[in-house]
Amino acid sequence: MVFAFLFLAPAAALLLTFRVVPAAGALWHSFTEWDGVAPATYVGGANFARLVGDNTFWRAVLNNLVLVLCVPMWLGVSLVLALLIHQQVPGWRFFRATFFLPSVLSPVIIGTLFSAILRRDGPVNRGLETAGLGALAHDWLAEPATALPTLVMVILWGVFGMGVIVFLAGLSAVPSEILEAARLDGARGWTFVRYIIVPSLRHVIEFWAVNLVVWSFTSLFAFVYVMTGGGPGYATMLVEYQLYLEAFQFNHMGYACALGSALFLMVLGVVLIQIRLMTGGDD
Amino acid sequence: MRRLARLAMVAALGAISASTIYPLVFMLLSALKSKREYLLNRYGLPHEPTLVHFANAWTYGDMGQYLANSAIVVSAGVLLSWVVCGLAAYALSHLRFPGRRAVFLAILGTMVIAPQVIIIHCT
Repeated sequence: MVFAFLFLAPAAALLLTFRVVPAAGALWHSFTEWDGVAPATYVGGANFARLVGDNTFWRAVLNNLVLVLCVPMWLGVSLVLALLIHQQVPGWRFFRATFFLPSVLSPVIIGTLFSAILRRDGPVNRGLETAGLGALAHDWLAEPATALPTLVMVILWGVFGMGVIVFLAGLSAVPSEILEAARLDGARGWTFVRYIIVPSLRHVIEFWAVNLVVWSFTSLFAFVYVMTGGGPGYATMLVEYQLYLEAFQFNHMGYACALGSALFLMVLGVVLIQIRLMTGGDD
Repeated sequence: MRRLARLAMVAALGAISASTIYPLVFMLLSALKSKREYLLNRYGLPHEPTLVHFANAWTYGDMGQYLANSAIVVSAGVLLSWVVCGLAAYALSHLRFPGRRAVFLAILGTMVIAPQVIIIHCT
């Protein structure tokens, strides 16, 4: 028992110093007006009152929820591709290697590349025009109707390879006797996936789903910063991006901290609902 | 029919591979073009490939310093993670102690804090 706390001490020290204490500071400052330099003044719930009436914030929340609804797609694509690679379809080694390529690029590089590729005169639109589909050409990241869906697809591109690796690792831990026995019993196609693969991978799928949800709320800053800046208008504004703008562009540190507190509650709420849904309330 | 479906599937996987390779090829080809050629011939093969951008990145862009910085941050980060996370994971998965689940949930809870919030109070 002493060992347990000894082993946990380094992690606890790091988390307290770099996570809990700053977060507590942010919570306190969300009740203040503060420019980050001069001493903060206590203003009670004024920041939260402003939050409730802030259209930009609600637009950002809406966009964040759209991203959460895309998590099953991000996860599903990875799962299907991992299954196909696991079945050793022709060329599976090549697919496994190339699918991982985006994972070694930083979001900044991915964003810069796709900004160039998705331009009005970029290769995607040129391809469409060559294929006689010029009517479908768009300035993908600069039109309000296409910006968010395009962002979703770029994120998919950036993250699906890591998902494939995670699921392959999970699949390799499933005893091959189980898979063979199921095959001998005649489990094929959808039945095989639904009753053998998904239950065997349940914990991996849960882990990756929670990871993606948290990540969609807290780690997309670089994509938005490089590709759209939250625009056009507020079409791709996310709460974490608004937080950055308020804190580091407008010096509204107090309001930014209120956004951070709201974001924290939002992620926590969504994750708790998600865990409840996934475990069916059984553990 | 089965053959055809299989062919279609491999073709689809190939298309995904192409989508992951193309941006890297685009990056490499663009790096080999002069500024003028990039504007005139953005998507073709470079006609007069040049390595001048790599030289510039190294001398004026201070790439060496940045690579060294990355190497320091990554190696220290990986080493620390191994030790710190390994110890904590062992305690949580193999040792029995009161409050185990609470500690685990608290650690998970710290994951949902947006990095921007942390940055505000670390500057």
